[in-house]
Amino acid sequence: MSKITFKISKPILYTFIVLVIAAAVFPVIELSRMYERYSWKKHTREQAQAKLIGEVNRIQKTILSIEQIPQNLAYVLEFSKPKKEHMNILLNAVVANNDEVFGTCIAFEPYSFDKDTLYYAPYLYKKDGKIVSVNSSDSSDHYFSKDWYLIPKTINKPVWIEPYFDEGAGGGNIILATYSVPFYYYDGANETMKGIVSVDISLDWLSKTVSSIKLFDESYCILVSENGTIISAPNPQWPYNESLFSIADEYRLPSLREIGRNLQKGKSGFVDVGEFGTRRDWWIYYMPIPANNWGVLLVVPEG
Amino acid sequence: MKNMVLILGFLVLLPLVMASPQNKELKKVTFLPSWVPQQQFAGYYMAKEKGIYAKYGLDVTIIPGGYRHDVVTSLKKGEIDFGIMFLYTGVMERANGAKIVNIGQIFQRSSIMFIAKKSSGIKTLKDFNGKRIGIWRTIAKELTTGFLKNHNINAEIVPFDKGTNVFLNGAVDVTVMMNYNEYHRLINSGINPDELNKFNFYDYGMNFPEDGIYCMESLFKKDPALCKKFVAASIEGWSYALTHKDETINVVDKYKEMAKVADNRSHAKWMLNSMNDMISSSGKNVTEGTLLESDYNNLTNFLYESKFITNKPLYGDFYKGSR
Repeated sequence: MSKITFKISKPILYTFIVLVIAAAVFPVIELSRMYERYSWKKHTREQAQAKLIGEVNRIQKTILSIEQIPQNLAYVLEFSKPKKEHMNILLNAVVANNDEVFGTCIAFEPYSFDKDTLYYAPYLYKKDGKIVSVNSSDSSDHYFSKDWYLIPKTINKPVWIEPYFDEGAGGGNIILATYSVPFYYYDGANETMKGIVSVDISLDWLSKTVSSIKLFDESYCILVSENGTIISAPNPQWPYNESLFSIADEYRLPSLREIGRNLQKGKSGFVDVGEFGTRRDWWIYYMPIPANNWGVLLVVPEG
Repeated sequence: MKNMVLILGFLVLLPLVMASPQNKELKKVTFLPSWVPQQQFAGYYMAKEKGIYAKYGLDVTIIPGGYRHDVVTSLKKGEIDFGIMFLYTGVMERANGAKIVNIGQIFQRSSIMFIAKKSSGIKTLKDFNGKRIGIWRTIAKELTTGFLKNHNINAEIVPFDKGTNVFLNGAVDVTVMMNYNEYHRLINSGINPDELNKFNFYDYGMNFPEDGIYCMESLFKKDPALCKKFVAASIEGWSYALTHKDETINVVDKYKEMAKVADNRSHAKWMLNSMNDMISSSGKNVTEGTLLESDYNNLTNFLYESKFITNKPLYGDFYKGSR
């Protein structure tokens, strides 16, 4: 029986050895890189989460303190039933002593303040550094059918109204959000809703707060209302015009729509959104603001 | 010799240049759409922007609509020459004595609907009973209340100004909406289409045409040619708008920004795409801008039987457009 022998030249042998070593080492290096990327991603996401939790808590506290303003005013009205002149003093104090408050109003139910007056709604607001007073008693105002009056009256509880451009007494050019609180008179037997106290909040301070939140240079924050309307974002065209859902539709980003719906359910989480307005991939950590069901999104570039 | 040819050529072309519409003195007219700048009025904005009105010898000033500008009042006061109104508004005003006429029926169908969340359990009109139903305080009030009355619905009526917040905040169970506008705003507020039940008025025998062009009868009598030109140019504007959608969205955006109207491209696309359906007269076999006598009779019968009008204006007195 003859023995079969293979003769391998040295260069081929060396090449073979190098290839075997490379095949063994390359996956190790790649695995190590993947682990590094995973660790970095995990670390930055933990950072993002911690950062946003802190900021949302801060915003939440401010919003709760703003909500307290009309609630206190409603208590005062319920117990003291003030006259016209006292009401103006109260409203003036609210506007003068609260930087965030743009204007405030006490709007009464039909013939509630005075049996001969259908509309009665004194409103004080800031204009050119002064406090200006108007009375929405003009029937053309029809405040009974406006969101800020109708919604809290119908659902019988305080409510934040979606942000809007001020078209009325404020003279425009300002995005406001209104918090409205119903107030009641108790006659010893029954409690009757008598009207709505509202405060109009300029969203400038909130926009500034949110835009200052950064994890890295290129990361940024978006603030949205309960219906997904964008209140603050680096793109100046977005606030008030766009919602998370309209952007999801325009950029074909179903994950963004999912974020909006999750925020409405009070959920938070991480989502890889892919290309988002630029040719880079981005991920988002989002979190609701429980006080008013608004939400904040921290948008971070991948890698 | 070369110079001589040029001079002769110039002399030959000069009368043509002088006769072009751009150099004729344009007739100044004012026009008020029934609402703020949006794609619902894209055809008129494009007719102005693309020089179509000018081609017809018109210098049109478009006044942005809204709560502060009521078309009927502005027509009666002589503040505007032409305006957009729902057909039902035009008929009601005419029946109540206003000497206004319809000179072109642009929208051929109805876009109004009632809408409810499926989660509310409202599946049929019977389920409306005992619920809170939102209707617009000023717009289409007769159509919405007439619809509810004709279907014997006993519910709490909640009049509101505009938008979707009343519905989204749960203040009403059912609300009125336009398919080309508020319905899509709901979708862009996070509600999925399969979470809603729609009750389109056209499915309940109320496919009443909506936006039409109106003027005072006195203007039509004085200058019918001017009215015809305005309608023809507007229809041409619509034709341009619907075949150049990206450009149209950009142009209307410019007017929206001037009027500080909040909007976005997603919604603008939806609304402009919906206009095809509103304007096309498919199945009716009429030319664009025509008000069919049968459509007119359907509406006047509804308004009369629902006791919103006590007399039915004659079709020929009310409608002065092409037939």
